[in-house]
Amino acid sequence: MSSIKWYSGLINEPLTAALKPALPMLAIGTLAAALSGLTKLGALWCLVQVIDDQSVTWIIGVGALLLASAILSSAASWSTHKAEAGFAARLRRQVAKHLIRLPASTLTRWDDKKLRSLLSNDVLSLHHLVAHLPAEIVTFAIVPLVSIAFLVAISGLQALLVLTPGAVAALYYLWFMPKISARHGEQRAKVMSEIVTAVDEYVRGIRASRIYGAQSGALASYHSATDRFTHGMITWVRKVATAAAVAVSLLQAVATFAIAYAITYQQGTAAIAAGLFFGLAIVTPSLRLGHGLDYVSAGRNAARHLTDFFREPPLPSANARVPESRVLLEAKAVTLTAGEQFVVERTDYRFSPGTMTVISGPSGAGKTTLLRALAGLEQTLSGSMRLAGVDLVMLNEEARHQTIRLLPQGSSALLTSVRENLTLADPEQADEKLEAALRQARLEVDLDAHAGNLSGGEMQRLGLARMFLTSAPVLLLDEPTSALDPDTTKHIIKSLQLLAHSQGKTIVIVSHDPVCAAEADVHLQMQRNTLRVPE
Amino acid sequence: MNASTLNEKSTRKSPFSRDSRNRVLAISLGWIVVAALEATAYTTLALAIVHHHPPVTVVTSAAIAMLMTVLVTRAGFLSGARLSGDLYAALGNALARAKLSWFSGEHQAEVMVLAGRGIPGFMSIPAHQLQSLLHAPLIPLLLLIGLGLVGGLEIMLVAGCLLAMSLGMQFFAQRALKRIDIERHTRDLNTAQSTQELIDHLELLRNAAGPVLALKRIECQWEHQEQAMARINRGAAIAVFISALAGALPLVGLASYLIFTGFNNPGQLLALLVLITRAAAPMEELALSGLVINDLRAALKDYHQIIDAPALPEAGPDEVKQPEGYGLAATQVSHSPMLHDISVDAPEGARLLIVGPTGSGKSTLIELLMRFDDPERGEITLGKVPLAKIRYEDLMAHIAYVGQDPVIFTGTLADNIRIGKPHASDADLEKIARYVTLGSVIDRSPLGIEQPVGHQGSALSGGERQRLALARALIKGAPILVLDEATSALDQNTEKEIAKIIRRLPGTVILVTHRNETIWAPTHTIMLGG
Repeated sequence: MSSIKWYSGLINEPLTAALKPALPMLAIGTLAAALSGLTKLGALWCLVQVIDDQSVTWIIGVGALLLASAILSSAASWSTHKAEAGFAARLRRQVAKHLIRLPASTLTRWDDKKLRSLLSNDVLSLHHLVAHLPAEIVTFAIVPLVSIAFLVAISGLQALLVLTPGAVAALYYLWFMPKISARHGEQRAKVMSEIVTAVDEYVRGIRASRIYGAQSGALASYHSATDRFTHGMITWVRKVATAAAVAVSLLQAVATFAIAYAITYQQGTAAIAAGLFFGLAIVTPSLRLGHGLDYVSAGRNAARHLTDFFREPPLPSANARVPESRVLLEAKAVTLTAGEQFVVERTDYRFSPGTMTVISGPSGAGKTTLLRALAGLEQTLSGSMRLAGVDLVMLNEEARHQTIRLLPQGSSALLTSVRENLTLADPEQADEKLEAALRQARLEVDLDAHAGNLSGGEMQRLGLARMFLTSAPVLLLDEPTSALDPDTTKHIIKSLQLLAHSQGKTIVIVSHDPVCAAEADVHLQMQRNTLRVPE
Repeated sequence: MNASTLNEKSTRKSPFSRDSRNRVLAISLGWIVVAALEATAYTTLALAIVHHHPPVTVVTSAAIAMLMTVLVTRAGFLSGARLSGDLYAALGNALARAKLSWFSGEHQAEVMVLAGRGIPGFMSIPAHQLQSLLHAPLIPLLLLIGLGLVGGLEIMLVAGCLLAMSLGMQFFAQRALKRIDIERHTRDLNTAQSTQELIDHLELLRNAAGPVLALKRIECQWEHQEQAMARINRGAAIAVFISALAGALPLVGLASYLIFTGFNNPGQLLALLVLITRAAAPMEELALSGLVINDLRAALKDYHQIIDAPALPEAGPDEVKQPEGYGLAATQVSHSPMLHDISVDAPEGARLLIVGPTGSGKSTLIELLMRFDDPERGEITLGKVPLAKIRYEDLMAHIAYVGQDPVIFTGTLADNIRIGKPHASDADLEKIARYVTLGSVIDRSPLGIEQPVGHQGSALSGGERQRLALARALIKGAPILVLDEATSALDQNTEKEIAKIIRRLPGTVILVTHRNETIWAPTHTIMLGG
């Protein structure tokens, strides 16, 4: 199949893995589509014979071939779509798997809109390219060629004039339209994504937008994005509308029929019949082109986005494992940066099991980055973070997650039940255990309650309950009490400390809350790119 | 867009403006004329074949039909573009009106699907959908008359029966597609929602569930979606088969009828077969467009649901009052589930502290004071005027607000602050940013105040995001400043610094905090939840 080579130009390497298993089914579908087109032409040939000699045999031929064509086109549709669905499913999972393994600093560079569209629009954009393009190319090449042969055989070379309207329309779709709309298409796609971003930001930041008035902020950018979209569309449509409308009208059978009749009316009924029926041979595939070739460039762009995304290196991991309790977490000559800024430089520190360490420091010093690096979610510039003597990057990723748990800053919960929020890591946890963890986090809430109804402080305690629930020996908490009152804070910090002491857990908390610092076994300050005990 | 055009548009009942409606009607009429001219051209051709006419009349009638097609198609393309503009504007205004409690995760995902796919899809209504809906069904009806003219009443009746059968089969196929398609639409929405969940909670999911289990929830959704898609594919393949049969039936049926009844005039035979082929052709088109039209109908339904999102009642022009001053008061306000008979008095210049255990409704009370929703019972007034009697723009002009989770937009530091005062100069922006101790952030990049803050502020720390939101609130210079845990991520010294700035403000400050209450020197305090 010649189109495969062209394909690999469109769809780059990481995607071919997802595409390869789909190829046999895709080939079957394409073959069925081609055969469907040919059997239909056979039926038309029989029909011309019917008009010539009015025999029953030929009319049976017409019926049988049209039935075969219908079966084949149905089979083609089914198998190409099945092949494509498999491809999309594999691709979607590859994207998600890669996404979940990217360092936090990489995610900062990719905005949500791009990430979301990788998982939805970009995968959908490839649908046409994979499911429809092969069949369309084959149909567009084979069906017209065979019908031109029939046409010339019956009415001679001058019959080729019948093909003029279809050919002109095809020229429009294949040459004029792509040329004109290439620039506009890109512009439109840009404005389109601006609209989606504008809506997203507007809806998410609705409170801020409301308070600061409709004329500023996201609604204004929404209105300007949509105005630009409409404006751009109208300008573009004005440019192409007349040519497009002419192409549409040429594709109506009226045009072809008029020419066919003008050429063949003196050649007898069979010749007129052939002119009329086969003359539409180029029109039918051109009609499909009329649905647009935009999807080819859309698919190409999607493939490019996906390739860029797959090029982002994931967090390294290997196969080392570590003991499941009382593990030492240490920074060895670690240099760590956040953007251009140094967080720590050549710093050594050992976080011992059975100890609760609280790290404080001025805002923007890079506390969150440090904690992420300790969790193995951010790479160090030099030196290494080690767990029980093993470099974090050498660990098996699941083992790393079983050993280290990070509670990220801020409070958020999945919009589902409290129970599902607690059992993300282990769906089999018994309710009694979950309730005990909630009690330790001082959160009185029903397991079946919807987590979306919780207040900020309650969501934060839901996150803390997860930390009480896990058996991981290393717990890292980023500003875990920012939304809690001092009483609750004190109680929870005490509980965490008890956990460190009684079960030998290594607990590191980043917090600027003096209540936390006061309870710490060790209190560290981030200062001048290193960790030190405050005087 | 200024406030008056916003209001004008918001009072409009239908999302389609009168201009759009008239344009759509004119184009509908155009498609009917095109159908009539096209049917005439085919019938002229058929009669010419039977009577061996020279091609002049055939070519002329074809040229007229084509000219009309060009005109109507062109107008259709243009009004499609205008229509999408109208719909986007209506969506933007509906979102601006909808009350804040409406913006749930589910609705957010629906809005995203509508803006990204639904509305661009509506653009094809005038040029394509109207053609399918008017031109396609009219052609067979008009060509039946042509069949009658060429072959007589009996053949016209046979052809009519065959076309009706073909239509019945198409109808069956289309109904099946519609049923399947509704499900596909639901699946798409669910997938969009769970994709959003994965992206929004990426950090939570990968930390809480780990690299393998994090994808379990979205995987579950995908599997449902893929099963549904496989079912849709099977249904679609059967529908494609039936529709292909339906397309062939009139031609094969009429040809067989004529041959078996001993018809032996080749010219007349060809003329009849040409007419029945053209009469049957649009039905295949109808079936193919079935999928698109079902999509469109579902999208229109979603569109109406979003456009009709609940809004808070606005006072009529006669009832509107201007607040006298900016004293804020609530009398015996109740709002389930947390607030019962709460009264608040914040005279001009007060520093009102709202305290209470977590979950006692502090944020809800603050939101009611800013009319994010109306309380179930009781009344809230600004300058002695009930909030419902004040134009929303006037109310908002009085208030600046920083919430628990500061909203930072993707853009630069300057962009984020400028939202508070659109015409502020760059120097003013930098001044206010340094005032709220963001100097170190400004100085760490050569771009200064123009440095990007990453996606939704992800390049900033929690404390920096809060101070940025605070800068935005301060530059607005509103008489009432509302701070809901707005300094929770700051270290103690920075928080003290900020409190000092806030204390110097001449206006009213309403704040929720649960630590260091004294640094704010409140003049009034309200206890919630006992």
